[in-house]
Amino acid sequence: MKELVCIVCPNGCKIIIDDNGDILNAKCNRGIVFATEEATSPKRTVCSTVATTFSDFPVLPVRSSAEINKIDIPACMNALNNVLLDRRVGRGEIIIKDVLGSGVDIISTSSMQYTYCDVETPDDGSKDNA
Amino acid sequence: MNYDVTVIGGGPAGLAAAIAANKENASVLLVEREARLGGILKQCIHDGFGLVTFGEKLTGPEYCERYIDELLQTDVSVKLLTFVTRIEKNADGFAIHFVNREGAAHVQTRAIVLATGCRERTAKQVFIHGTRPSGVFTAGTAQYYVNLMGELPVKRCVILGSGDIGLIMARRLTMEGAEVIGVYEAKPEPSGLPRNLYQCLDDFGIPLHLSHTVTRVFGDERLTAVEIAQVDKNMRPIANTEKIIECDGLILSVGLIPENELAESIDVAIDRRTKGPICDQKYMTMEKGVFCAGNALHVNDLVDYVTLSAVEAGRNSAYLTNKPRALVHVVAEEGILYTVPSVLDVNEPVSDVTLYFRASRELRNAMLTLRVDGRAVFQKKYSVLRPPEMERLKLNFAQYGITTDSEVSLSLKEVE
Repeated sequence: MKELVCIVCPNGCKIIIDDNGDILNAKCNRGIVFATEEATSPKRTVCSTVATTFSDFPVLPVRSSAEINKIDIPACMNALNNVLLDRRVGRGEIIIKDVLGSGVDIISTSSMQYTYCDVETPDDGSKDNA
Repeated sequence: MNYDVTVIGGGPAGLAAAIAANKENASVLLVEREARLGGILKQCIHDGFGLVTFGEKLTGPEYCERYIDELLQTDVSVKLLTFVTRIEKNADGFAIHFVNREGAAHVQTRAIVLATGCRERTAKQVFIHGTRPSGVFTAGTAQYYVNLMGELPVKRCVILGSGDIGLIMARRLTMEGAEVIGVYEAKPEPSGLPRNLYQCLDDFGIPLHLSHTVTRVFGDERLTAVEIAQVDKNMRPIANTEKIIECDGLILSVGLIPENELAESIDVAIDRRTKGPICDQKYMTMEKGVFCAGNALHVNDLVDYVTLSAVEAGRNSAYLTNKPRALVHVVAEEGILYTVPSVLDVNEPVSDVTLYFRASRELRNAMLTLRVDGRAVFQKKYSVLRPPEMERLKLNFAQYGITTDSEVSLSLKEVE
């Protein structure tokens, strides 16, 4: 028997996989899909940041466009730590294509145009706050 | 300048309220003290937002930028880096005084929507003994450092409190290479959502210690260690259970309190339990013309509910009339911690009221009963209710013939 908590929605169903492999207590189909996957190859969406050269926006929030294998999270974080973004991107733009050959992209989750909406910002990123 | 509606705060509540008021053809001003719109969602880079409103699992920035995109298509006036210093009641509504880079000025408005969000409880509010070294952060401050500034504020830390932001930060700090020794919760039950305990702690092997608290901090310049102790039922430390843990960081996730300094400054009545203004079903506070939405009203667990309440508050703020109100309290009885709204204006439609409530303790097989003049008029059974999880209920009060003389109450009782 295995107990897990569904992370698909805020209900957080406590799902039980019994010794016959039957999935109990899931309130919806997505929970059953989650539990099946969780028992075989657990997957997670990775949400993190990448560094930029812009002093007014030092890090850009990013996420994986779909879930990746849980065991690949450290390697994915490593890949993200090697990024230094020197262009201003929009929301949804691809930052790393096909990360770790997973078929999943790392995408921007924020639009850098929303920095200081009504304030002029340096474009070249070379200026420092100092 | 004159506006129909002035929205104070540019987070998810303020954005939704401003857009909603604008849709009703009100002239709207949105005032935000930071340089960017989006409020706390800017730094909430994890996903899980928007399941109710969009049916999608979005990150915080994605969620708020959808509203920012929409807002920038409207003719709502937006003042960034603008801090409201004072609100003054007058014959035509309110004068909103503010300061920004252009100096001090004021605008005149008929209605106000307070969307000022909430603040975190700080170290001073949880009474930890010892020195005052650096390295003690609220979870939100640590989140600001990591997610907006790209700095790692701790190398090896302890988290006090099992609120959702603390759990989210346990995962985030671990992913960025810090060591999270454990999460310590003084209560016997965790306060965060089960899914966050699972995906933030269990996934990373971070232990959760219930009925434990931090009793002392050590260090001169920088935190060097904390003392942990087990606590009894009354959350008092138990002697001889103390343990010293070496660390350079203590992250506090010990609760949120609605931010209502402005509301209090104009004598808006505050609900003792929610710590936000008392409001009716139109999200109007006890002060005519002052509306409130989102976490300023009560701390929500889902941003989706913040948005939904703000849409209502924004829409209603556009239709302010001089009609007198006829108010009836919804009394929170046994088992109910609070309801929002807690007051009904029976001079206005009550046929489609969304009532939010929290149970006062964990209840199983609980029967919710709505009583009007002692008579049970509505019942609903819940298999399990926990105080950290807010419930939402749509009710048609019109069918119960409520007048200002009615006694309306809500209660929860465990049944077989």
